[in-house]
Amino acid sequence: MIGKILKKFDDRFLKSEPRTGDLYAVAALFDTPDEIIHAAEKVSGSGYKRFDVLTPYPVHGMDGAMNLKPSNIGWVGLIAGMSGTSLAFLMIWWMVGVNYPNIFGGKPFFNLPASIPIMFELTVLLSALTLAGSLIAIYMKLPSNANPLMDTEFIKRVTSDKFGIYIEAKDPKFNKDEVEAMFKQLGSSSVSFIHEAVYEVGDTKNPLLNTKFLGALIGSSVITVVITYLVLNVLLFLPPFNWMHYQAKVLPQSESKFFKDGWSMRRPVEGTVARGFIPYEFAGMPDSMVVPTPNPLPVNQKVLDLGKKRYDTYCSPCHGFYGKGDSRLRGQFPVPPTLHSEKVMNWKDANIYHVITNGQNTMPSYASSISRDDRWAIIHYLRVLQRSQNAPDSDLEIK
Amino acid sequence: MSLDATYTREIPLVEGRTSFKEIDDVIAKPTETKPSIKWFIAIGISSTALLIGAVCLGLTFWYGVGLWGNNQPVGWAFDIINFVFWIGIGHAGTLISAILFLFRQKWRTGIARFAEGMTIFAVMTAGIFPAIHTGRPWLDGYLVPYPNQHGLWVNFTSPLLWDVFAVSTYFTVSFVFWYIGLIPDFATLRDRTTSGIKKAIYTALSLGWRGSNRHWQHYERVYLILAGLSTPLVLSVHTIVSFDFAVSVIPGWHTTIFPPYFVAGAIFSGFGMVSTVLIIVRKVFDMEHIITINTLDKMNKILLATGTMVGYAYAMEFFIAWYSGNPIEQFTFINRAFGPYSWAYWIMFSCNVFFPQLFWFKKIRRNIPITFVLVLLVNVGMWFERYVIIVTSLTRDYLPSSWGMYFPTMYDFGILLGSFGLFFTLVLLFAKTMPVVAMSEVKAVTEGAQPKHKHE
Amino acid sequence: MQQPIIAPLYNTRQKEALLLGWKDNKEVNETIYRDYLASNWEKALYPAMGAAAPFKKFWNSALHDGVVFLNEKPEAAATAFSADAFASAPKMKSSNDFAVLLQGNNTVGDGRFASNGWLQELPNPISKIVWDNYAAISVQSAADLGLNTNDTVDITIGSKKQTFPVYINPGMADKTIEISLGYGRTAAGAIGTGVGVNANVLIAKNPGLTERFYNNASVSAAGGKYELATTQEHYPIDSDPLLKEIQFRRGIIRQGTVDEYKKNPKFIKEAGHKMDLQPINTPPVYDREGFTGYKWGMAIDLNKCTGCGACVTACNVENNIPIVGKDQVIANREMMWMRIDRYYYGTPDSPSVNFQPMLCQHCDYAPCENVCPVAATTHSEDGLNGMAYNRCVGTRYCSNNCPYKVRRFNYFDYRDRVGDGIQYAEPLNLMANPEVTVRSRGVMEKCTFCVQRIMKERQDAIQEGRGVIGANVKTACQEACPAYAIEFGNINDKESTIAKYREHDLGYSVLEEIKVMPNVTYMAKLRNIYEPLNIGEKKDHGKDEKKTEEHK
Repeated sequence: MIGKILKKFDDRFLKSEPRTGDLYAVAALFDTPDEIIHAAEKVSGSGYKRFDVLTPYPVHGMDGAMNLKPSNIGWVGLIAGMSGTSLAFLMIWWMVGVNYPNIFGGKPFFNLPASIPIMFELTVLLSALTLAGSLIAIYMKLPSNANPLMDTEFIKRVTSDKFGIYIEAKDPKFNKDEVEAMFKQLGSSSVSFIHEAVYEVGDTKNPLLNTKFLGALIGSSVITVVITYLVLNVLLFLPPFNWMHYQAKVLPQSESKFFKDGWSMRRPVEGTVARGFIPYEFAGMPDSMVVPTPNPLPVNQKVLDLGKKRYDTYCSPCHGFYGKGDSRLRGQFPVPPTLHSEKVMNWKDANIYHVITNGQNTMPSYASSISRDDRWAIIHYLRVLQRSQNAPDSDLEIK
Repeated sequence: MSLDATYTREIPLVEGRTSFKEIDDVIAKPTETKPSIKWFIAIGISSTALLIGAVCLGLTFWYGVGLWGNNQPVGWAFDIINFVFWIGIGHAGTLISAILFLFRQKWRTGIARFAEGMTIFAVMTAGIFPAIHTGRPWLDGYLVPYPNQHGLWVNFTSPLLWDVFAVSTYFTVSFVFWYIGLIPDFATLRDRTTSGIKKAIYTALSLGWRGSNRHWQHYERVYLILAGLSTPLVLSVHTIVSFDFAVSVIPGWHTTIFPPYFVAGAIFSGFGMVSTVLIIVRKVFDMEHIITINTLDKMNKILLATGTMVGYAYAMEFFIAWYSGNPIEQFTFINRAFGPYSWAYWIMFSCNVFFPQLFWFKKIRRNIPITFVLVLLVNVGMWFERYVIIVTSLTRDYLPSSWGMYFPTMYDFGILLGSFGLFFTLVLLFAKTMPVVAMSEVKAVTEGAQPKHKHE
Repeated sequence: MQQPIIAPLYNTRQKEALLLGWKDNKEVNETIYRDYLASNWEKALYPAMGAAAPFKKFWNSALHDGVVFLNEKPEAAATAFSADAFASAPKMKSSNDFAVLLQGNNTVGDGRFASNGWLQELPNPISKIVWDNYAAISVQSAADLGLNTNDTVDITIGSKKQTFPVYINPGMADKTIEISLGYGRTAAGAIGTGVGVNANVLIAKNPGLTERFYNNASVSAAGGKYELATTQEHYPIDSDPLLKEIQFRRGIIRQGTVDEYKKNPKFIKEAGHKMDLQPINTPPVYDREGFTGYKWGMAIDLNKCTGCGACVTACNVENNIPIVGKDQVIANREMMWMRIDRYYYGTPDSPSVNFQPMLCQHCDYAPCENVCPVAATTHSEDGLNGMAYNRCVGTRYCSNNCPYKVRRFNYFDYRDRVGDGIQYAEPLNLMANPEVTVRSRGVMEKCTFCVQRIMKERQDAIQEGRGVIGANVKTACQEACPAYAIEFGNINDKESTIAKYREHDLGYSVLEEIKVMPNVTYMAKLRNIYEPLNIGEKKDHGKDEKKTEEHK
């Protein structure tokens, strides 16, 4: 099985058939660095443009010999580095200074000295990555495995121990015989002719469009997506990874299997009296038994505001904002009578208090939701409502 | 721009008149032959260690970091000791390849590639520890400032966050630097190999490199700039690691001497580890001609220099503690040297300061067995330096009521062992599959490799 | 009067109701005892009160107040102290004998609370030992017997014999051993079974003395080892000059005498020279963010603190703090947010003790906040050092950088780990405070100043349309303190008690010189003795004198 696969690789990568395509270049090998420098000078001096020198290591003085302009890639690094600095500065400033300020040890939200390490690191990171990327992709135009020089005897020597030079057939001054003669005259140990490879039908020149390659690419990306999804959404939520979603405590309004009634919330034990919760002594008695008590709260703006707030919250859904019995519940609950009836108008405050506390007919007790003072404040506010909705003409006269 | 300048030639960097072809043959040999039994034994040991570490780590994930010895005053122990130790090891590679490159130290060529590889593996090993030392490693993503549903960013005042940026930048840049250096060698291997699968791999990795001088021109410029960028980077990384301690308020941690002290210590420990591994590798792979005894001699000189710097830092800490007039600080240092963890202190002191002084003698510098023992001691000593700084300072800080001793557990040792297992497994795989010496760089410094400078 | 706060969880019956049911041959239910009590009050007490209100109202208000006042006369005053009473006290039988005192334990009592993990893990105020009883012995006697803490010792009284671990307790009388009862239970559930050594076996009829006190015990080293778990490792009294009275030199505890205070009320603030390091009043590097509205602070009066640990337990209960078990206490991983530090000074024979409740100081310049990489611990505008548990990844950096070491880390899921996961089991989850998050393993936690109670006050204030009133918030520790040693409130309200405490002449904060600006103020301890305490005086006293002479 493994042997088969290896055989396939051997067939594809090691077979070397004679090339039958057009002539690509004439190439010559030299043995010493001095010879290749001399050859490069000669070739560039003769006006050839599409030529190149291939060496196993950088040979000194070759730039001058080949008449090359100095590299300007340093500027790329400088610009990328500077953008790294400013990017880091802007990122930190925006994140902690603008978007989500937090107090850390009493320091200012945006803290320049503490930001310097990260600004430096991002400078180096961006500069190095941009340099490497642009060197490979832009300056050297790699990868270029389809270059006709690949897999020739010529390239095998120049990546090891020889120094090579070649002139492309596309050069305007190119003449096969002249070039060969020139190389021989320069003392080349071997001159060779490099032909383009001819591709069979179906074997495309661009390996990116190979169906097998594309299939492998799509397959691996699907696998990556699925694995990423499973890790982030399933694996990380399995034990032992604890996100504190489960809390070993009993929350209000939740179910409990422990208690017979199924509720997690417990009522105080019947008959007990908690601090600040003395039971209402008229509970369960009819109105008529209620001992009239005056409203303990004074009438002032604050109390009326409080009363209005509580009335609007607790009473108005059924009784309406003006106490007219215009329920907002649209018949889902029996509509209560108006609060402007003769009966309610003539009730003592204590009677109304009794009804709020105890409930009446279908109205439940509001004792647990509205505090005592709030109840009295509601009553004051209700009196205001009654007065405003039943104002006699004399109230409207300007005095 | 050329890589070389005239330099006074002392001793030939590559011994004997080696031809380029022979250089290729020697360096490419491990990648082209079947592994020897020695190699299999070595990787067997290292991968067993790795497995033990992985099992201990798995159990830690399952039960919690409580399996370790960390406790209330000592929140950090082996986890962060190992982190700082391995990050320190990782400093030698970039130092050799970048700083010595800028200083035109030609002798670096024989060891640069290997040291860079060790940097990458050491930083990989180190990078594991900040990730696993957390109580809830499944939330480590929170350390990265990414937009999230909490609307919350990270805390940019935390040295631990600087670490995240520094270590990941250091790893990325070292990796890029290493890979850029490897491209010409991959091309050489591509054109040598006789196996289809290797050819496919090297073809992909070499990106179609041809050795074109139109490429070399930009390549050398980028290599120089990357070396220039890596130099402050390598200094910044251990500086930032030292900020983890220097920025705190704990006596024994809160010290401004830490950045240079840590950087010197990192170089010291890094060279110690590089020497340790190189002495083995040059023997196992028959590379005595390329990694010469002169190289080791020079490395020992650096060990001597950095070891003395570290010794100076130890002494200076005591001096400053006394000179500051801060009794809490004074107590911390007296406790370090004479308290319950004094054994760790004296192991550190003797391994890092006393024994490297033997390198003053040329005979010892050039004696490989003694060098090997001494560099092993340096590794031990530098591990204990971090132990002393982290554990001893935490066991006795401000309030005596919260003092507490620290005892490591078998899981701590297992994970420490596993980190060595990971590192050496990676080193062994690297030595077997990639050129451990930069062929193109070595060729460029052999005799007669450069023209006779008539154009300069 | 006491009232039940929760109905019976299981199908159980009240013992009084059972008796009543048997007596009157009635059906036993939840109300018969209450009805019986109420009718008795109506007949016996109510008429005597002569109250105007009807009985029902009287009964409800009695339940509400928990007490009624009757016009009773105080009993006769105690008679004079007679020293002669001691004349007949028995002496030690022979010079080799030890006196052994068996006492009910301060937490688990006579063992009836042994199944309560919180009490098992509450450190003994003096020895700081948890999950065990031990034979406490004086320094001198231990040296005579060649014993160390964690050795074991055989104690024989008559024919009864038991082996105990030893704890050397400074300040014990020589030739005296104190042992707690209530340990060594064999059937006390997942928590209490097998904790400590059963001292009940030593109890015998003891003519002349009580069954709890013996003067004829013989003590010998048993040769074994037994590890006691303590929450405070630092050995109490050191002769080592580096460690001696370190609590005063480092400015952790400050104290003086009443006389000194009378002479110069500001002497504590001016006594900085007694410490090794003096706080320097430099302006802050940064202006502090926030704190313009209300700001929370706490004051702890060291004069009132008795070290009982009620605050610690209250905090555990309020904040869902798990117990960790003995092995984890040995590993220094107890979870209590609040601890009571015990510091000795003086000689091993007659030491004096300072207690100091230590909790998160909510520093304005909190060192922990700076170092958290994920912003899990930040400061709120009302001065709280907050912890976002969900955000915490558990780097433990904050704990390392805390000068007070008050942060606690969940090294394991302790709820699952202790006593077969009993803290997760069904009835115990009812115990958890629903207002407080239950933390998982890998999360850092610490005192929050009971932020859930602060939120309650804020909610009330919004509902009532008023500002937040600091005095309305009572932290759990504050409520539990029997001596009212803890005060809490809004320090920006200059009229409040807490603000006055903070401004008080005796007020200081621990480790002032590192300038983290804690919001917990301690009241320096004043001792009512005549001689000034020469603690923490600088050793180079001679130098100072020379200097003053030169000035002359």
